[in-house]
Amino acid sequence: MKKIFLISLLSLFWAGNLLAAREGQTILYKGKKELKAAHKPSTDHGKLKELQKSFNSPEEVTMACEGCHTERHREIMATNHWTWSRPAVIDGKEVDLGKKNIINNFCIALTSNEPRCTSCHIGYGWKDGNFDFTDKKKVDCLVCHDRTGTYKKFPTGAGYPVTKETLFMGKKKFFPPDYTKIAQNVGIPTRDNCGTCHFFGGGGNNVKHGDLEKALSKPSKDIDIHMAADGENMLCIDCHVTDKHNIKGKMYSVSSADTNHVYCESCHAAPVHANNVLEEHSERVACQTCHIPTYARANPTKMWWDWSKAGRFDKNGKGIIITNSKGEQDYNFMKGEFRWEKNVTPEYVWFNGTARHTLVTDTINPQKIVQLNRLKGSYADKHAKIWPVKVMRGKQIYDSEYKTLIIPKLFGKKESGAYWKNFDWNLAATRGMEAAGLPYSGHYGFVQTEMYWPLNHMVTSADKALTCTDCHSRNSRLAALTDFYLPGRDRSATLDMLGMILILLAIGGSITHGLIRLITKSK
Amino acid sequence: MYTRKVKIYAGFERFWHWTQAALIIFLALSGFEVHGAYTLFGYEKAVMWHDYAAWAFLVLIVFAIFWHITTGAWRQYIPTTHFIKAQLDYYLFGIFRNAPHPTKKTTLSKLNPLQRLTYFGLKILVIPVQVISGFLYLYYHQTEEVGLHFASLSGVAMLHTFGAFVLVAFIFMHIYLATTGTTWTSNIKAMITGWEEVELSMDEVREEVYPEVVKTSEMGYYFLDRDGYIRDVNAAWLRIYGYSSPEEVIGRHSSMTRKPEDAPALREMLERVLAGQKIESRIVDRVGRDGRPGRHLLTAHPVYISDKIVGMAGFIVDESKNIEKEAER
Repeated sequence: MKKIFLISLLSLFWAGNLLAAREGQTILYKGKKELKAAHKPSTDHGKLKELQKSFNSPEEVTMACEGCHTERHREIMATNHWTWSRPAVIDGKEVDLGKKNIINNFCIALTSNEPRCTSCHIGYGWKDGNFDFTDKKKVDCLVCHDRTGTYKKFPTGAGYPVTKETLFMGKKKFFPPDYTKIAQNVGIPTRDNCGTCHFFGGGGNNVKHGDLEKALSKPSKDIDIHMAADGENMLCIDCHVTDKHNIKGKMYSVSSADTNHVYCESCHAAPVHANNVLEEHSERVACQTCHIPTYARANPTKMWWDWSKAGRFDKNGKGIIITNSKGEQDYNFMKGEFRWEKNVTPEYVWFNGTARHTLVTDTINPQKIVQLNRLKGSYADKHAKIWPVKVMRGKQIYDSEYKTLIIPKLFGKKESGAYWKNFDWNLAATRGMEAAGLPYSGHYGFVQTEMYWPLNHMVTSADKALTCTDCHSRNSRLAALTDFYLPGRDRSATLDMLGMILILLAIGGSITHGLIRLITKSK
Repeated sequence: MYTRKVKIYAGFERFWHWTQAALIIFLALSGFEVHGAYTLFGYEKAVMWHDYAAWAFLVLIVFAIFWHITTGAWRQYIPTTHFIKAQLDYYLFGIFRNAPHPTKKTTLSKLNPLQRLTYFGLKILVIPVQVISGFLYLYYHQTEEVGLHFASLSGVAMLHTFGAFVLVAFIFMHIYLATTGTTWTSNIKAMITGWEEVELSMDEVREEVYPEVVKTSEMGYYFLDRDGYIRDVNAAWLRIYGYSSPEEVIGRHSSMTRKPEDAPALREMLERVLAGQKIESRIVDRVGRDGRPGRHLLTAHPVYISDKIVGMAGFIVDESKNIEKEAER
């Protein structure tokens, strides 16, 4: 008998051990030393004769670069950073997405607004539809390779820096770049190079992404565990690895296909969790979901943009700007009403890596919220995972008769019909759609739109990741994902009630029976 | 009617019972936390420990099945409809009047008909459903990999939740009904120590009583082997013959209890009995200790061990006093 005890006990112990923790994760990248070495330029450009001269224009610098780095412009011209176009097949037909063609609910669209938008193009002079995408002089090498931090493209200069000291919006001063110094100090792109555009998309810091902003220039570990200045200090291109100037990674705001991705798994090889059950989650839950518990942790991001409220002036005819106590603009007469949020809890969607976009040529239903881009996937789709997203919401102009979205002309001189000079939506719509070569009925309205931005940055340390009950509880973060049974969140109220009744009957029956036994003094 | 302290629960049985009880209670506590009913261990630990406990439970079940099969104890759980009504009546009415339990608890039948039915249901239905649904729940993703497809976890989860409610309700009932033994605590003590005052079947009473009857009877008892040697006698036999201890006679030949001329009659009787006959009664003259004469009534029958006659046994009643009385008359 004792032997059976022993064997049973041993077996129980064994069964427990079988499930014990696995080895820790494997990180393929080899740490600081390797990165730091890779971050150092191999050539001292200051010693190159070709750069020891003064340059009269940025194009001259580009020609100097291409003098040695021949054919690099061909690589550049093949990238989305240059073309701003992403051909894709959507619902069977080929469409061209990309920044050039897409409609968003920030500044809406590029067409007719080029000089403003293309201040973030890696080229010079894309000021209208006639830009020559084959002119290698027009490639801007410096915006990515400047290591002095002094190279700035002017916000409305179609990609050019200023030639003389210039004020922007009467506030920020821009200086002509010292091209010689900058050219002699080029190197690989740092976070600040990428951030020049990617932190400030939508017209200000953190307006668009929510997880990409100037705090990532020198972030603490709390803001981003990978890029932390006091930690791994990784650069964007450590993950967004680059081959022939094609930088891995893409955003579903401007593209739809599941290609050219950066994956966490590229460095963090499975198994990444000591706990099997956690590890299993990665089959249906993106790493980002748990490891980006909140976004916009340092500075607020724009969550709501209502263009319909734009165009208000005070009685002196001065455009109204309302700034709240935290310094955020709640209202701007040029753009309308805003809402900002900091430390935002993401929304969650099923996402299989492909997206659908509402194109400017698509018919919309203005009674409903128009999804400018929709991330595809569902529980039943085995390739879909739960992803955290920033959902940008707002109201924007649409053609109330043709039921299409409208590309308005916002930026330009007064005579161009730009909204920001005339505050006439009808004129802006006419000019914008004209430039796009699209019909406009002459009747406009404002429709509510949504845009889905998957979150990828601002990954926290493991101890700050979500815990089970953030999702597995009655007040689950995943409350909106109702197409599957989530333990801890879901239950059948009827079953639970029946079960409780059953238990209460058992307890009640026992107590009653026992009391009668006591009262009747039976044994 | 007759009770005896019996080892009613074997060591393994008790180990099984209490381990199972602990596991079920722990599984319920951690399981309902996973269900979102409350916070106790912390969700992650609740999930992890629930899974470990599930495996431990499975191992225990394997051992229990082995034990039940090898010991034949599984027969205890064959349901019967006999006395179900009586047992129900007892719980509903009889118990309050101190009526006797309608079914007797014996080592061969520990469970009353209601218990048999309940435990049979648990073993055949509830626990298998819990174990199967539980492991499907635990290995939900893997089941899909091997081709088992569920539209959603919800069916499995609901079934598992329902089973859990049934088991929790059972535990409350079970704990209460454990107090309805001979005393409030006798059943619980028995499950801890293994020993319980158990009512004996009449066969068990016989087993218990017969050896005592022979030992303490006022009739003399004897047992001779096939060769006529005395192998066993009781106290009354020794008294009738005038001996004070069995050592004086055990191993000696029975002919010493007769006058030489009566010895052939004894031998002839032994032969008849060894041939299978019984002697209903016979008055014989004996030779007691120190040649003291006497007369007694005797019975004799063959003793069988494994279908073989191994000797002769019987009882004697002293007749000397009666004879003396007759002589006086």
